[in-house]
Amino acid sequence: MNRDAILTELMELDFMLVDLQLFLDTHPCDQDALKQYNDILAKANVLREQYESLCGPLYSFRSFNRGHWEWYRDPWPWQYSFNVDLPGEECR
Amino acid sequence: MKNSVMGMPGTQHDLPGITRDAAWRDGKQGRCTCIPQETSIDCVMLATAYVPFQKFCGTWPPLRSLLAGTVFPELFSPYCKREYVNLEPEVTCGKNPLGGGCHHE
Repeated sequence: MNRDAILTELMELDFMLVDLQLFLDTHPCDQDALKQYNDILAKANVLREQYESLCGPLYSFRSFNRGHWEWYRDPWPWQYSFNVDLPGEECR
Repeated sequence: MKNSVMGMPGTQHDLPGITRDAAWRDGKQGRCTCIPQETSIDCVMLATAYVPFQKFCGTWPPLRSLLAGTVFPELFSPYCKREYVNLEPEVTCGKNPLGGGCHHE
């Protein structure tokens, strides 16, 4: 997988985690939802490791930096060139 | 207050090809069973809102979740027309008025 493919899938899985987290806040004993949350988290963590070994740190404070402080390199996550386009049309 | 909720137990899915099984829809009436239909609320209070308690009924696949803004099809209710996310009727459940959004013309 290339950088954009990893980043896209990571965004998708992290979004699912956020939404499932909201569900689990009110359904803390729902085993089906909990299993899905854990499964997605495991998969997202693998992708995070893949991304960071390929492209450098994703986070300023919870990523390893190799050889030198890689975090300062452009682009940063809030810059347009860091991000990828998703398929589909904009909301009109 | 007593609520009685009809519906079937949630189904379990594996990543990444999360699919719904037949239990999601009531076979006889084509009715969404993932949205609890309140059949009775006793001792209703004034100035009190009642919200059906969501139950886990599976999720959309990752990309569709991100595009729709929710992992839960039963919560999908876009403000723009249906074509924003081209959702399959069998996924949104045809009898679910929220599946196509309440705000389309």
